Amino acid sequence: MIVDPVQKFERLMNLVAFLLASGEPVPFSSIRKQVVGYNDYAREDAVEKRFDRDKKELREIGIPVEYTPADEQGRDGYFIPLDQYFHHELDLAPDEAALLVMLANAARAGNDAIHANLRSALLKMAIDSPVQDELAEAIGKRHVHAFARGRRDRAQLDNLDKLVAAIAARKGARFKYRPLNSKRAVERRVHPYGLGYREGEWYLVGEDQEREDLRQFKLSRIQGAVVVKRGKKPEFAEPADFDIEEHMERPPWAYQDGKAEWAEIMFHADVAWIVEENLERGQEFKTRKDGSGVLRLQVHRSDDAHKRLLTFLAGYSGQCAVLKPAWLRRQAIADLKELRARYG
Amino acid sequence: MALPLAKLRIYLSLIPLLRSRPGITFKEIGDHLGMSAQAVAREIPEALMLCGVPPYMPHDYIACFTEGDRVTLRFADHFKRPARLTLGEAAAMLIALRSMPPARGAPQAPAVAGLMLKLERALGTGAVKKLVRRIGARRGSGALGQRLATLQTALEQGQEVEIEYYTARRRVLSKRRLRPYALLDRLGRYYVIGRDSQRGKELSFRVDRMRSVTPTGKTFEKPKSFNPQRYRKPDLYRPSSSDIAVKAKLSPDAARFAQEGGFASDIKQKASGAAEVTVRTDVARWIVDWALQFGMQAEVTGPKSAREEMKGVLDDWQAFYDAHKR
Repeated sequence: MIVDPVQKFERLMNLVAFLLASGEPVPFSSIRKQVVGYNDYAREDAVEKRFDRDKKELREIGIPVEYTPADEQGRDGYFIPLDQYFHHELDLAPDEAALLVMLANAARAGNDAIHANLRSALLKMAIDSPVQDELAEAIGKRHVHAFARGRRDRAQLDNLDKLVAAIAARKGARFKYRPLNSKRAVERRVHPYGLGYREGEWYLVGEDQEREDLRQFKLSRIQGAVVVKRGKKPEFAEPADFDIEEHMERPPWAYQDGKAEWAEIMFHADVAWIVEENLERGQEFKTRKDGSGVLRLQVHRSDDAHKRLLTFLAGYSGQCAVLKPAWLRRQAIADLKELRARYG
Repeated sequence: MALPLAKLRIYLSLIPLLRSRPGITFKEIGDHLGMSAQAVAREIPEALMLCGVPPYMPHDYIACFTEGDRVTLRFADHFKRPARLTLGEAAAMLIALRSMPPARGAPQAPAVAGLMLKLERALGTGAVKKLVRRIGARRGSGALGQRLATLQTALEQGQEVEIEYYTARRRVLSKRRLRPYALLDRLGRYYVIGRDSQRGKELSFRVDRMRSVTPTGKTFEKPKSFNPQRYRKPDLYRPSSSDIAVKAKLSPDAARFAQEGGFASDIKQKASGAAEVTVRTDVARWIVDWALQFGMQAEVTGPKSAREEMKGVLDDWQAFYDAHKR
């Protein structure tokens, strides 16, 4: 039976259904003859190309379409290994299922790059959830609504997926990156060690091949598509003690070049507790009897690093003062004076 | 990802769910997909009826029976389970679980740990193991977790709380009584929306600016008119008629930073890359702090009251420096 071409969604559904239902390898000739979407008037090579493209795209969304060469009887064909395809059953406890409902509520409300994948994961896991409609509504009462800004685009989500794959396979990645203080994007080659999420932004942490050092890259500053090296062999191994969460707790200026030295910053009692609760990796805090406190942290004597630190201090304007080192205190006071002069 | 693939991904997960729950309502399906029940009723049965296997006899197509607002699937046995999580989905789950209110004191902590373990077992391919130390989110402090736990309990029980709250706009630490209506997670920062008893109106409060949260024992009914969707906007600030429009000029670098921060709609950029930003606020002090983060790269240009505010802040800061020497 030869019929007209059908919509791509229908064709892909038919192919997946056919391969899942067959349970054994089927040659392309059978797919060509039987599956709606491939059994049309198009030339043989055009349909073959269509099939190749579809296989590739299905693999990209995690559907393992595999090929087995001819056996003793000369039968070859395509198949989906069922043990690799089907999601294993999750025996969810009620509190775990409730947690999934809370995450689903958050995922529905958010529109950040994380949410599309989260929604998709939760839909897959819903089949194992004992929580039905009424209970879900009750859980909704304690639910945390997630409202992201919604300015993440498709390109960033695609880059995120590519970087997750590169991290898992330990493959190098390259991309055009425009730092905040630069007018143009430059190509960066990176061994991606990990991806982190901080206050609504994604960050890649990896070894910058040119600088031969660790760097953090904000995904929203990557221009165009990330390119991941091909091949199955891993290209690098991240340090054994690498932990992305440690990096998400490091301030951006910790990645600067130059010699680091200890700085001390004094905070008024009204805000000292906020600083103490939000200490980042490598920072120390000493509270004084009057409730004020001194933050100790490492700073680099580079222009960029001290500017970033002073930006952080602006959040506590009038309620903090750099105590040391002397050069940083001088710089902070000079900035204050210069700024003050602008206002007459 | 192209649209048909995104749609395919959804349907390959949806069909096993519908198959396992005969008589599931359109509303339940809509809740899973983020669609209205009406949209589900319109789209899903029609799309499902196109799915079949050779030789495409009537029973080779998925049969979708609807009765009122309920739907039942038949002849979909080859889609008995959804596909495994992709790496991207596993990564999103890891991030989401790890960015839940921090472990210490938060009621979900054991459930988070249990779910992580089950996910790891279910994925089998080692996907979670591959990613476990390499995909993550910044954790909040333990104190924040405890406050969130107290607030969640208060929300569930409809209990009033007393909070010790630092108002950054006014630089004041004060005690307030609050009737919490909802907890919002905005880009990893938690807010409580509720009625402030002293000010007599619905306001938003950052949880990380609450020094303490204590239930008062008094209960209340959440107003039926409360709608958290009203807070689905870039800025939680609610304008009033007494607001002033504060203007500031920004250097090209500061303008880029401001645009990243979501101020794009208020920014007028010049050919040089420099920009002028206008922000409506009830307290000039807020824009002063905002401008200060850019150091030399921003200047408040008006109105005069805002420039006076900036002068005052800078003088105070200078005085603070003079009073605190090493």
